[in-house]
Amino acid sequence: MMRVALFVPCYVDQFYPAVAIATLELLEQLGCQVVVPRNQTCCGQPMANSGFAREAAGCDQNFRQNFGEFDHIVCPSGSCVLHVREHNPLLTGQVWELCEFLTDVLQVRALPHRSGRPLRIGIHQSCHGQRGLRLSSMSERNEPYFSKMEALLKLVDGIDITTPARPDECCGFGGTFCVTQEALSVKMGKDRLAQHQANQVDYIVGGDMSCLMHLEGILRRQQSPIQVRHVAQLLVDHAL
Amino acid sequence: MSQRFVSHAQAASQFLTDEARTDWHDETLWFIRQKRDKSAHALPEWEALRELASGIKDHALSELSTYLTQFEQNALANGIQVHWAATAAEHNQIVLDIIRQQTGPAAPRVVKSKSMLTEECHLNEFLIKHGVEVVDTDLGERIVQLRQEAPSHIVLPAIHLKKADVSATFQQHLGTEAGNEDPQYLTEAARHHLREKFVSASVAITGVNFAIAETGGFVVCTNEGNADLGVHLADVHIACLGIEKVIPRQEHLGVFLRLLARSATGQPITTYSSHFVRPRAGQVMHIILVDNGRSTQLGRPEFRNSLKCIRCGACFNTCPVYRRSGGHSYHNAVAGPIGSILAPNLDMRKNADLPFASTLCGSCTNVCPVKINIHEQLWHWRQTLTAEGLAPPAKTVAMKGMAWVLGHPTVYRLSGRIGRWVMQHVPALVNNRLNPWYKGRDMPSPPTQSFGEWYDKNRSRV
Amino acid sequence: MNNRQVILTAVARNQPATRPMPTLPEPSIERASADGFAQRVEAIGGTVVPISALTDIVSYVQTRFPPPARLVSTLPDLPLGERLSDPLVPGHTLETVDLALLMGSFGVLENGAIWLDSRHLPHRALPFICQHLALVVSSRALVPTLHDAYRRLSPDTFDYGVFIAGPSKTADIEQSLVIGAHGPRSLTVFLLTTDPSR
Repeated sequence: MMRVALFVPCYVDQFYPAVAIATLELLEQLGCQVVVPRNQTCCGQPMANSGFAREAAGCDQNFRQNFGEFDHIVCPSGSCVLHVREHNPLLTGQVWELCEFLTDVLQVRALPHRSGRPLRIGIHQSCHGQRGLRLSSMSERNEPYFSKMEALLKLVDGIDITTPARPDECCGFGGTFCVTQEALSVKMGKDRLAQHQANQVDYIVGGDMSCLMHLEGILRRQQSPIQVRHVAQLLVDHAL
Repeated sequence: MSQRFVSHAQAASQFLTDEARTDWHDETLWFIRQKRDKSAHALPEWEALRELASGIKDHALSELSTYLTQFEQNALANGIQVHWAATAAEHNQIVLDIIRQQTGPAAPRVVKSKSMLTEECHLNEFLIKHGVEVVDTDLGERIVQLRQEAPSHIVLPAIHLKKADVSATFQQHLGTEAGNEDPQYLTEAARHHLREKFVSASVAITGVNFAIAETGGFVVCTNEGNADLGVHLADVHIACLGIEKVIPRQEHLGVFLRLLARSATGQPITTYSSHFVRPRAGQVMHIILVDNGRSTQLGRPEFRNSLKCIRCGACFNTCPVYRRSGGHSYHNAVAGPIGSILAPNLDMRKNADLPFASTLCGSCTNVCPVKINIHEQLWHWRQTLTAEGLAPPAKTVAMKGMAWVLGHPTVYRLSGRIGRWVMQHVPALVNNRLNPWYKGRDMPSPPTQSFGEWYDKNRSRV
Repeated sequence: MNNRQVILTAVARNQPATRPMPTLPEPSIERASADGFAQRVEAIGGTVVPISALTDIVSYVQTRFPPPARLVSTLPDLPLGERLSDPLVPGHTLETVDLALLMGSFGVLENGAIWLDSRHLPHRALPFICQHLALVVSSRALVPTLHDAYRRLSPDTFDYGVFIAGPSKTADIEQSLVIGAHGPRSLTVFLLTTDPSR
């Protein structure tokens, strides 16, 4: 049985506990022994991306204190994983984004059958996951198509995956950008949503709740019926 | 007279007040990005070419002093006069001296083709102030010059304007028919207007796309043919270039010219790629090598590879922020993502907002034909600028406070509980107009318990 | 210290340790096809006229540019247009040229560009100031890529040279493509092929 530490991003811990629970249960269903270090807080990315990486030393140290003993650290956020990989070099274990951990380490090739009505979804790749962690190919490059998240979702019955007109345009969240450039951020989010709305999706599914929190905020303001879901929530078998 | 400073965020929200026009601007530039994709994806060796171009530039910058010297020697041997300018002001003065020397006290007429360096140096304002009539001959640049605006894009200077805007400008300045917005008609009017300028100009100024150390020659690329028309008709050709434009060998042009137009507009090559090696009989040719901060940037390890830029504009077209805020919001001659990493080197204080005009999505880095890590440099500039004390004080306080909370697990858990309690019980405290999030978005619904609290109740801790 | 020394000293001080010079791709193995080149020229707004002998040009040009059109040609032995022998002729006197007919050195398959240089140009302004431009290129003188093109261009053999790819154009007004910006309003490429199957 593989022993992994679950790293729950701070805003997921506080605002989206269901996503963390789904991640925990999914990893357990796939045979992992999951440890949740109690004193984890934040990877330090909000400070670093705002230009205050030097203020994040406390976060970096706290992260190492909580996760230093593990070989595999799994996190349901591409953005936080990218930050830790790039900016916490003293960490000895390997930090994995959930989807890449499933496809590359556990090498999941099948998932339990899902019941319920068919779902039409649009995938929202976070830029940090897609371009930073290379979780999928990108339209800028001349390279073969691949998508780790899509490969996993295709293992689940009854999911119809649609592609937005601009497959990998940023949603406009951008960390503190979402408040310092409020007008631009909301406009980018609206434009991103319009492309999913054109596909008449039920859910917008992503690997980063930060992007999804931003898109959800706009959806609710629009009183749209579309909901956002973390990929873990679609992959986990709720029947178990 | 000092103008009130408008930050990128302020200018962007002003730009966004006309949503239909913002959409038009966004879609126009996205269309160009798609043309670039089609062209780039049609070359199987595209990624290898980018690597090659990046490698040649890395090498050239690492031996720049040698290549500059070699370029100068060969240019002199070719009969070209070579000048060196450490600053924008020196560059402008050299240009003026050459013009005066040529034309004496007579009012000189100068035609200029596109050169972002001369925009960076504000050459036009300087020359006009000294009584020199300088006419921009690239159609887009002529349009913005007549409107007394700056170019909003390095390749597409008038991309922010609609046909109706151009029609009104041409009606006012060139006497075209009111309301005739046909691009063919308007371009024809500009053709006649500018041909008259070409045949009467005695001095022609051009930029330089690539200077070749091995030959002492240089290459200028246009689609309209305006650079060539200018210089082949004028008695004097002044070519202005930043010192980073020197490449080692002529054969390297094969790499860069394959990438440049494909990245810029999706064309396989620009209509004209002109190679100037020696002046024509009876003509005088000058080259001005300009530093203006480039040697400083070369000494900044995190930022030096911004000097690899070949000014294709692909990072503009792909940038979701640029497309929705327009070039003028960057208050710098070079806008867009590349401008945001070049501008702070010129003036950190004035341009401290630009590295924050990005979501760090990384699209720019991946379209860049010379593989400049633009979004990483934006990140590094943010660190440098806040270390220089150029962040807004409130932000500094907020970040320090946030870092303290997140660095202390007990404080973090308590703050989370208080925060969620407030959002549930006193939502007006966050759902108000002072919260920029709430202006266009609802707040997430706060759950009764955090994941940590759920875990403590339902699972045993290690 | 003068400017030159100031700049070169700063550059030498700040440039990083030497990075290796990459090697360029090997020459293309495949030959450039005349049909592919013709398609590329048409795609960038040019018109291709296949010819089997230079004399084929005469009737084509005479039909489209009847007198009093002003023609300038550099093609020897063709009874067409005037020759420019004086390189010091003021360029603006060429403004009235309706058609310039020039010999191109070679064409590039991947982008439809044709190389012209000072060895074959009576006046540098001519291919830009004429109202219409016609270039002759032999189907034997085609190369697949720009890398191959630069292998043919040994440095120091020309004072000025230009790749011309299509007629002059602009899209500066709302991205609407307009042919004939400042330079020629059209480009005709006479593609000389001795292959009887064409």
